[in-house]
Amino acid sequence: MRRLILLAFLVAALGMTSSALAQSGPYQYFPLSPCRVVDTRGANGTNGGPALTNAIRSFTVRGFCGVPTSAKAVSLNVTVTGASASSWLTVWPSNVAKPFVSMLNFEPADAALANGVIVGLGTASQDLSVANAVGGVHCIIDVTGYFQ
Amino acid sequence: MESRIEGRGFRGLSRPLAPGTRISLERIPVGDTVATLELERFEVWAPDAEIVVEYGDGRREKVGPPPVQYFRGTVGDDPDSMVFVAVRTDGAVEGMVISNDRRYRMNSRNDEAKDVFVEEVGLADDPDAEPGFTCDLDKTRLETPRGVPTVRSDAAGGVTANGTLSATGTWTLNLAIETDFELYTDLGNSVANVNTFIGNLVGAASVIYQRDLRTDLVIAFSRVQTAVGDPFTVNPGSAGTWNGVGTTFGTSHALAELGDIWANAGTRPFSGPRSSVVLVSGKNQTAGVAWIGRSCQGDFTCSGGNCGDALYNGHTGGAYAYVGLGNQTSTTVPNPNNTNNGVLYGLPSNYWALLGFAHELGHNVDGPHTHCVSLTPEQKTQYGVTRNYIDECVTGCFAGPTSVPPEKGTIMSYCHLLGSSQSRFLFGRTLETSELMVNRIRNYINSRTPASPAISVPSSLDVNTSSNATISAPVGGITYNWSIVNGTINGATTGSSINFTATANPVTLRVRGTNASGCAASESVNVTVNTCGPPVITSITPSATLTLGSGVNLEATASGAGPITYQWYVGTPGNTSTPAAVGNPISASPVSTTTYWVRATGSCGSVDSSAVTLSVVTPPATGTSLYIVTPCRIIDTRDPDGPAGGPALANLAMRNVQIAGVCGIPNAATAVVANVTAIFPSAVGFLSFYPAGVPWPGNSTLNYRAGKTRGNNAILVLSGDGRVTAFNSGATQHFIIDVTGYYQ
Repeated sequence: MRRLILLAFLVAALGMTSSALAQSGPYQYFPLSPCRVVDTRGANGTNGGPALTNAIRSFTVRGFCGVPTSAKAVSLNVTVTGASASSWLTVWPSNVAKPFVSMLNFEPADAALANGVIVGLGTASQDLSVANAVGGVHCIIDVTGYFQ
Repeated sequence: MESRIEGRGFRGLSRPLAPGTRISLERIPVGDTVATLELERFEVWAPDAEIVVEYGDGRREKVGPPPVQYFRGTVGDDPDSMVFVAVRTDGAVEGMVISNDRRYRMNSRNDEAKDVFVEEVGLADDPDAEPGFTCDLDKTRLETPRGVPTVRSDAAGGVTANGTLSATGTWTLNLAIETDFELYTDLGNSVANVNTFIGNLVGAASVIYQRDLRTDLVIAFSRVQTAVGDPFTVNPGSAGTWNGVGTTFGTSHALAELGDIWANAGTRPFSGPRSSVVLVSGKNQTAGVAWIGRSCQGDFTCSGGNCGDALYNGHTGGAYAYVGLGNQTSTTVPNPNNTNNGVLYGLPSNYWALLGFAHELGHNVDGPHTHCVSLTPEQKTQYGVTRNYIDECVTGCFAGPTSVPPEKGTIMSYCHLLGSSQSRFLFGRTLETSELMVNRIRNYINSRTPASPAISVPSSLDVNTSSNATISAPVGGITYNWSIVNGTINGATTGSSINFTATANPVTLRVRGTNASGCAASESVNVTVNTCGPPVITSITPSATLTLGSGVNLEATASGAGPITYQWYVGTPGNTSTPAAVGNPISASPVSTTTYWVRATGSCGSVDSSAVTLSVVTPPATGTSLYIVTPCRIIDTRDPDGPAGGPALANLAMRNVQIAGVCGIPNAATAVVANVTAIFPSAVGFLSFYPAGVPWPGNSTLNYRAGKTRGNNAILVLSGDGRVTAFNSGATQHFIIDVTGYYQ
């Protein structure tokens, strides 16, 4: 009897964290000539430095590189370099809470490592959020098209 | 006694030093002691001095000042001592040291070693001495009543009852120096010798005047007569004709002739401001004469005996002085080239010339004979003396030598007539001489010089900013002359303000204001300079590619001496023809690709940023949909060479790969969903895929690392003809493209 009560409590907790996933679409793809929209190795700024930490950075993608303000998602090539620890990167639309996902896992021995991703954009002016899990790392984002 | 500084000379001082530079000469043997001479480089010749040579046939040539640096100072910190050192560019030295009432001369041997000899000399013991030096003052008394000079009230110069000055300024007398053919002959028929002699003479006298009267003597004009028949015809002691009557010339005739030459615009050799004109003559008599209290005032014409003697009737008086160096032969006159056992004996080893020059010029600035200044009963009580005159070396004014006062005579006395060292080279050191002599002369000079120009400068200046210093209250009719230590003056040095750049701390600025009559006041100030530079731009919005219709804020931040202001421009950095909006940040929404830059300006200059390029792209008009194909290999460079095979892609090489028409990808496809792989790399690098036919856009698609085969998911955008370009940066690399779908 005591065991059953404890189990019910755990189920309730899991149910809370797995809710509120949104869907949207369908979208059309608009190709763009590859264009670098973020490089944290550059001077400090909205789409520049400093390097990522585990704090959330939000970048502005719409308005740059041919991505219009009406874009709902972008296809990206995300590259990391100079990682200080084995870690992973999370990339998500900036209008929602940080999800527990990874899009790129890396270690300091990787001079640089990249992966492609299609990710939605938020509605704020800074529409794409990125966070590193452990340590610091530089992040470079090339955009290759958008969806709307 | 004599001391020698072996083999050292003063070559170290022959390199140029800025006026005001202070130096110490250590271990100099002076008499029984070994002393340190504390010296300061100072100017004798005005920066724009007019130095001319007359050849007697109408030819006149301008020459530069002698190549000599002048130093003045003290023995240790003894304020009663005086040191003058003239150093030629070859290291040769002529100098004087006066300490504890003993006089020494410093001279170099005229050979390569340039050993410097320091030798005590007395006037009577001086081989150059001519003990008959007299002064014809009483005959030329004009304005000053005989008797006790009154201590004048404190004027603007701040003279106090004890003869010390509260003001910080110094005065300057701009002298015009005349010489005659006889002096030229005595000095070895050498223009250089005459100018060296004159510079040393005035420089040594300036040390006395600076110490006692805080007055600098500066040569504004001098000329050398190299031919018989110069303008100075009167030879004192010789028979001649004066005002049509035969007579025996005295120095007074020579003085009147000097005034006549300068009063006549046709024969006046120099039109610039002058305090006094002094003729240094090599003619027969060892004597001098001067008008009392006439410096910085205009000429006058004597008539009816009002100038003290009928010989002046119809002739000109004023700020003139005559110094006859006497019937000295070429072996006794102070000749810089004369040697005695190889030792150079130039001025000021000849103290008689210095005594006569300083004495006669002292008359011009209102100095009376101290043996003519009687003391009132009240003054005797005040000073605690029993003498009737300041100096009693002669009875009354001109009755002849009697006894020497305990303090010895001033430079304005005749006490030297009683023998060696009975005159001191000073205007006043005792209470009564300070009050009755120094105050009197200082007041006279002060009353005839412009108000001491006060320099108004900030207490600190930025070194890279060309900084202005201005005179706060310029007075009309004054000309300015600026000099600087530890810096350079940019442009004119003669305005009421200057522009300068500092080179070291502290910067010393000096300014001399000269009025129309040639009298000048000087002021100097030390300025501490903060070293700083233009701002450094620490961050700036990077170049970016904008979507048409979008905007971005351009912002820069800079560090450095502030406040810092920012101005953005459109165009090439440095080209300010197209300013952008004022402010920082600014909003930029270019409709076509545009280059921007910013200028950050602080208090120490400005810096221009590099270019920030905002590229503008127009998004595609229509979208595309995703189509799925069976996974299919487009290319594997490990295969035999061909469109779908090798070779491997070399470092920095590009290769176009045909995508459309392969693996079921239609020609209308705009992009493919692909997996790109780098096979067993040998080094670190990256692969970039982009539409064929355009320059590399600076992107990367796959980063590789030695020994690690890696794939990456990517959407590859195709060119209009269905191709991508592969670009490799790293090492020669095999790669694979697999597709799983396309967009159309």
